[in-house]
Amino acid sequence: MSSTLMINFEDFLRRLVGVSCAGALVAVISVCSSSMAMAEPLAPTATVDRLHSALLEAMKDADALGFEGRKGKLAPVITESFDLAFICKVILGRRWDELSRDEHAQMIDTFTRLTVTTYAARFDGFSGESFRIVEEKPMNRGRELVRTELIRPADEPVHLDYVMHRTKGQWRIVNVVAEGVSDLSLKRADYGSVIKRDGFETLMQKLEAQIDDLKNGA
Amino acid sequence: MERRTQCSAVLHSLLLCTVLSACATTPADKGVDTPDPLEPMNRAFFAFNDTLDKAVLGPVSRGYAKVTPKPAQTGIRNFFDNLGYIETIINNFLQGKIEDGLEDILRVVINSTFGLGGLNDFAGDIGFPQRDEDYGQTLAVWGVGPGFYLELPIFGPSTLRDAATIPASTVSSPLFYADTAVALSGRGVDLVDTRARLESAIKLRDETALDRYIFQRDAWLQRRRNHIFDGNAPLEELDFFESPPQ
Repeated sequence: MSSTLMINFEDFLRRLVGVSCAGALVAVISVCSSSMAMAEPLAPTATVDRLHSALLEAMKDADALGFEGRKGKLAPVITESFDLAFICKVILGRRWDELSRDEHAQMIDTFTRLTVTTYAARFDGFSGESFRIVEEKPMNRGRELVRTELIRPADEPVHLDYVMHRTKGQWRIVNVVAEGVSDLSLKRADYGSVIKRDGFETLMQKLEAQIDDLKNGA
Repeated sequence: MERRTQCSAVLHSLLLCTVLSACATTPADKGVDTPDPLEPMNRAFFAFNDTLDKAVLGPVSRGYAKVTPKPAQTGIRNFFDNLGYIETIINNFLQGKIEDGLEDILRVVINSTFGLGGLNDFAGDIGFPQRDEDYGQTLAVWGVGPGFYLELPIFGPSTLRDAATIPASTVSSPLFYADTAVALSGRGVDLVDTRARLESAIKLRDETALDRYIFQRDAWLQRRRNHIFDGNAPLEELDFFESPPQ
């Protein structure tokens, strides 16, 4: 009698443990999958799409928004879409390591303002342009290339290729290649030449002057 | 006899640049500073070209763009494109692009007849794409390296390989066989038209560059590489993040 009771109790315990284990397992799986779903980044093409949509909106409402309005609209999208800190590091190459933390922050801040100002100044009107994503290709070291076209009604399309990398759970742009010309490599050569001849402070002054020129010209 | 002279001139200059470029070829460089051993000389010629451009060529081409009606500009542009297309055809064949070459012959025939001597790009309208090939690109396809960067007076950006093909390119143009007065005025109009086409690129350079010489050199070299690969430069070339720093 007692042994039967014991078996029943053991069985009960086993079932209880089994159920709770299974329950825990289900709970763990559901937590994992929901957190995985949350961590799953937008596809590289989605980042590019979002940038292109913001640019088109800024172009279409260019006059109503004005230069400052376009800047305000584009700034959050540009800082989200581009890995600007990484871009600054690549542009300055070996010199990056020789600079202080404050100088790193200054470079990133200035370069971010220059990038936003440049986009706001250049995309200042609309004449029927549209963007088209041509294809996505894997590159070395887990990077992705998103090939796109800026289609212009009265002119040949412009080929714009975006090199993307995944960082902090998000696909971000690290280089724009227009008609085969890499923005990153051009800036690396151009900024490198200034910093080598005249130093970091002069580079910062020249970038600030460029921001002012773009503002005044807009 | 005359044709033989032309052929030997083409072969001679091709041979010359093969030899020159082979001597001067530097190893492939990925994102590290562009090798530029002639930088002081190049910068001097860049300054010369820049002065010439600011004083003469730029104002003349802007005047030309302002005064000449758009359809006339397009006509002149088409005419010179058609005239210079012989070099594209020759180089299509030299690169083994037989189909492109045959299609391009048809393109010139159509534009020279129905397109009124090349003024209209009639062939383009009916679906013949315009291509751009030259002896420098052919040498690159054959495996000849660029040598190093050269800034030439008046001609502008080039490489040792490309500069060596200028004689071949010159004798491939029908203008070379024209009456001196016709040839000179033809070259003059061509130069002004070419400068007018570059207006927006030069404006962009002047707005974007901190060091205009470096900017123009690197932008031109990259554009040139893209032309050599007919717009499809290998992806690896864009991926230089892990290469040794400058």
